[in-house]
Formats: sequence, structure tokens, C-alpha cells
Amino acid sequence: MFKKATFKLVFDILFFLVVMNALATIFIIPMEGFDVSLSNSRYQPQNTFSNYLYIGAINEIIFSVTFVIVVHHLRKAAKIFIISKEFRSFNIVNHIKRSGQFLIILGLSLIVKKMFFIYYFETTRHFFQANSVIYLLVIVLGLSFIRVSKMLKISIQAKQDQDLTI
Amino acid sequence: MGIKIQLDKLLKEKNMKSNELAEIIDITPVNLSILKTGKAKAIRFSTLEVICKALDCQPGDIIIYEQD
Repeated sequence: MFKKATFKLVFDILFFLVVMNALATIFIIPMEGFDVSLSNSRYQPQNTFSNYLYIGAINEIIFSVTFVIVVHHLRKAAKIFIISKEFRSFNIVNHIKRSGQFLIILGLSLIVKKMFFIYYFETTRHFFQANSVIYLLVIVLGLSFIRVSKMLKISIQAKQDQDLTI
Repeated sequence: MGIKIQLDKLLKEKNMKSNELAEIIDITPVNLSILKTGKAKAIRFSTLEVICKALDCQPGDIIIYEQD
């Protein structure tokens, strides 16, 4: 069985990797003049450089930053839930809710990213269709997180009311 | 909320301290304080019964309704 320390370590490693990825994206994209085609040597651009590439670059930055925020909130929620054993706190509700909201943004950003790749690079539409379900799954996961946080909030309130019944 | 708890007044009338009442009715002083200060969300019939028994009063003497 997963030990608590291992669980925390997994979240810490994930957070570290995501932060490094975000920093790399934020610093490298402006250095390349917002031309994301340069950072993807695997694909040959179909079109020449245009202002639309800025959309891809900005989307790439939004994706990286959102990913950091999602993992940050999940890490905090896991820390409260697993390490502190604090089930009655509204902090856990807020962290799960925030991670859900940003997961939706992450899913939308992934869809935009993939659509952008179809348009600008030699990526088949079949490739997009196969993966788009996963992106929708990310959005559904985000919505589920929001619902779960609401359920948790109601249960915490019920517990507090129960505690205040003399 | 319009519901008020008049435990303080009753305790004064009966010349009893909060801690004594808490001991008699077997609830913690913290919970009695929650009840006295009006922070409680609800009160069980069993608790009301023991308070009435200890203070020799009616539920209406403890709980009153005041319009906001």
C-alpha cells in the first residue's frame, strides 16, 4: 500500500517537474520570438510565420501556468487531507474547487493547442480525434472536482451543525 | 435569529454557577457556554429536559422568541 510519505513525494516530484516545464516555456517562447514552430523540430510548419503563432505561444504559456496552479492546489489538498488529517477544514474544499476550475481551463487550453497543431503542423486529424476524448476527460474531471468540493462543503457544514447541537 | 437562550438569567435567579449546572446535567462547560452565548444551532430534547429538571423550570423559561 502507498505510504503517506510516498504519496507526498509523488506530489512534490510532480510539482517540481511542472514548475520546471512552466519556467522553460515562459523563458524559451519569448526568446524564440513567440514562434512555437521553432520549438517543435518534429513537425514541419505548413504555413509561414504569421500573427496566429502568437495565439499558440500565449496558449502554451496559459497551459503551463494553469498546470502549475492545478498541481499546486492538488498538492495542498493532498497535504491537508493525508498529512494533516484535517477533514473538517474548508481549506481542502477551496483547494479542490480551485484545482477543478483550473482543470477546465487546462482542458480547453489542450484542445486549443491540438487544434493549433493541426492547422500549423503536419499532424493528422485522426491523431487529434483519438486524443480529444482525453482532453474532454480533463474538463469532465475538473467539473467533477467542483461538484465534489460542493459536496464536501455541505458535509463539513452538516458536521459543524451537528457539533453545535447541544 | 429570534430565538434567545435565557440561561444566564435563570442561573442568576437560582443562584447557581455555570460549572455547577454543567456538572449536574453532565455536559461540558464548553458546550454549556456555546448554549449560553447563543452559538448553538440546535438543542436536543434530552438536554432541555435535564436543564429543566436541574433548574426546576419550563422550556419556555429557557428559550424565548424575540422579534428582530
